[in-house]
Amino acid sequence: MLHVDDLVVTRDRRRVLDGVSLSVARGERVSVHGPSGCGKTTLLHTVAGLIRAASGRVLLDSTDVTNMPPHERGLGLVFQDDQLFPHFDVADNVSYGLRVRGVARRERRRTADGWLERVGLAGFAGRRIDSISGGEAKRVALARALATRPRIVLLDEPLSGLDDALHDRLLGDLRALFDGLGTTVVHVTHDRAEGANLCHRAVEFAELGASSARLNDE
Amino acid sequence: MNDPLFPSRTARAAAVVPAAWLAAFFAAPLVAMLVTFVRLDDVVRVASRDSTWRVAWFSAWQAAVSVAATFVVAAPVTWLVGRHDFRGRRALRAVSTVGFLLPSVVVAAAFLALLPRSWQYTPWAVVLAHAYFNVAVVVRVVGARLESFDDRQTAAARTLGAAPAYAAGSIAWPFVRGAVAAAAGIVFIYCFTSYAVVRLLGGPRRNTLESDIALRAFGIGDIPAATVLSVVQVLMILLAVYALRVAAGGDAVAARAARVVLAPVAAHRRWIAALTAAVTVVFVSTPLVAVFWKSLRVGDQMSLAAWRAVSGGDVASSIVASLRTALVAGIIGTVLAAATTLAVVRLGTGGRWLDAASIVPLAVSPVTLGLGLVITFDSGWLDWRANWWFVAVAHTLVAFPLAVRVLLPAWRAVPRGLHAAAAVLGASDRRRIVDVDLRLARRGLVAALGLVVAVSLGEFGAASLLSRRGTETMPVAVSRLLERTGDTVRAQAFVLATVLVIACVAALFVVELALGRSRRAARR
Repeated sequence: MLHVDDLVVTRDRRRVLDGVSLSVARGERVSVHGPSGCGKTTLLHTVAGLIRAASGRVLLDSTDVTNMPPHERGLGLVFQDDQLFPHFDVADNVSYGLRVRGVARRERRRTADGWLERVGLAGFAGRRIDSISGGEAKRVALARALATRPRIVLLDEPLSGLDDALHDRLLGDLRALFDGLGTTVVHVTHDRAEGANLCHRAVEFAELGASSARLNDE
Repeated sequence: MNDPLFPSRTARAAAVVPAAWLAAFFAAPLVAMLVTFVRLDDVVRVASRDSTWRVAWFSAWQAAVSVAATFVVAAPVTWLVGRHDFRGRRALRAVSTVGFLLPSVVVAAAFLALLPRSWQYTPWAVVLAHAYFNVAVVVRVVGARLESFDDRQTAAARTLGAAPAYAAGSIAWPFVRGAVAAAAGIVFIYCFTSYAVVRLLGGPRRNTLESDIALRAFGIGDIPAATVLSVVQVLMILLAVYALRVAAGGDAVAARAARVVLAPVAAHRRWIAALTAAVTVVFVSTPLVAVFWKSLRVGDQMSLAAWRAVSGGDVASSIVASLRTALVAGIIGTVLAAATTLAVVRLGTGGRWLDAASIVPLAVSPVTLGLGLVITFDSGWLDWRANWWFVAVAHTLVAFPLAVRVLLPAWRAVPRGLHAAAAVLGASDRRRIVDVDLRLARRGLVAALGLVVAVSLGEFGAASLLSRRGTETMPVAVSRLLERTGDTVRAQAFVLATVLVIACVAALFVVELALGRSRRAARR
């Protein structure tokens, strides 16, 4: 499904990722652990096409997407800080990917409502982004990433910044959702327990071949 | 830039639009002027004429005196709003800015309406009008700097043994002197190149370089001399801009990032504060009230005759021409500003070049711009001088550099992460520009549109050369009517000036509203 092969990313002539390799099978959920600043976010953003690799390859379903622009890769990414569009309401955020693909308004709304219900936010469609809580924003970001039925979902510390009770509840909801959908997931976190709870397989970032120097790039 | 999120292809395409516009309507006319009309014998002829030096001397001394007068008038209110927190502070600052936002023709008309006959058509009338205009520059530039000065610094100096005057001179003055120099430089440039105020208030024998250029080109028909004077003026403005940059960069102390909490007005100074506020409000509002009052008087009688003329004839057609010109200039100027901003934000070195190029038209006076356009677009299929929309083209050159300054902060404030999110969801670069950049910077766009419209409504220099009878804009019509004799005609000039004030205030209200909302949205 996803093959990352000897990926090198440089910033200011320093190697931020130094020969990282990772393989994820279809339907598999893999968690990558590592301390803050080790390059986890850089890895996800490079897979998503938001950062250009200096060398190495990213293969999706055996297609080399290393030089493909991000909007053509068909991935889902949940950002650490959500990155919800403040000028759209909740439903328009969730259905944005469908709008870009030319899906009709009524169908978009129906799909958005369905995803909002799945993530426990039924009735939130018309809410403004600045009127929802941090936990609700995480759920909207997840629904937005899943609404286009992406080939693979990348989760960048998706539960960071939540209190313990909310963290545990959302973690359970996420696992149930992914179990039901059979989604392929790459999840990066510094929280081993979260990774072990959510994913089938957990790997240390340092084991991926990265130099793993502390880079403060996140 | 090697950035997959921001491919430079779209930005390069966007950059072509303002670059082509500037090349066609700014660079080409200036080059044509220089190549066609600047000859050594013309330079010698202009330099050897007494009148040239008289004009240059008048330009310089009235500008210097205007700077001093502006600081005298502005100092109290700048001190009040820059160092104190009180109810109505923002309103007082806004009121003190009004003069700067008014068209120069309106200010000139206002002082004609207000001043006794013995003061009209004197250098002092010119100086007073310039001070009225430029109070806002001092309040905004020096006041903003004063706001960020932390009083505890002088307190620290006092505890170390400094007397109040010594503490002010050694601690506070180095903090504000760069802003004072910058404000003085800006005011000097405005007054040095003053046109409408000098033409209407200075009397027929007094000219600045700017009004002399127009006089020589269109009054006497000596275009070579006008061109030489234009070049001299551009060089002098560039010199002043350079001096301004050196002075403004000379702040001894960097502004503090943290906001300083301003103190309330001390009880024993409240009467001074109240007096300062009252004098400022009266100073700003009286000329405007005088314009409206004069519009209601024909001779010594109260009459609405001049207002009735609004519904037809020259007065009505100039209102229509102004609104039509401002609308076209607004649309073109906003498109140019958006394309420039996109390129500046996205392109590295190329963006910086375009950023710099977009400011250059501000260094060339509107009269020179108008002269260049008249000379260049005068024959064959390029004979566009008589077209009403050509005034709008000139106005885009005057206004779009300002619109870029308004739009840039709004565009730069768009979080990069939202682009990343939209890209991952499948939005192409062009789609993201529409869905993310333009949507989030829309208030900046509205402000840019309002600003271009306001500038176009009030612009006089270029319009006075390009407008034709029947399609002349309001400022040109005000000027023409004021130069004629007859009570009704003068009353009509004041009617038009009143309409112009209302239109400009409405456009600037839109700008302020949009920018206010934009700032509030950015804080959320």
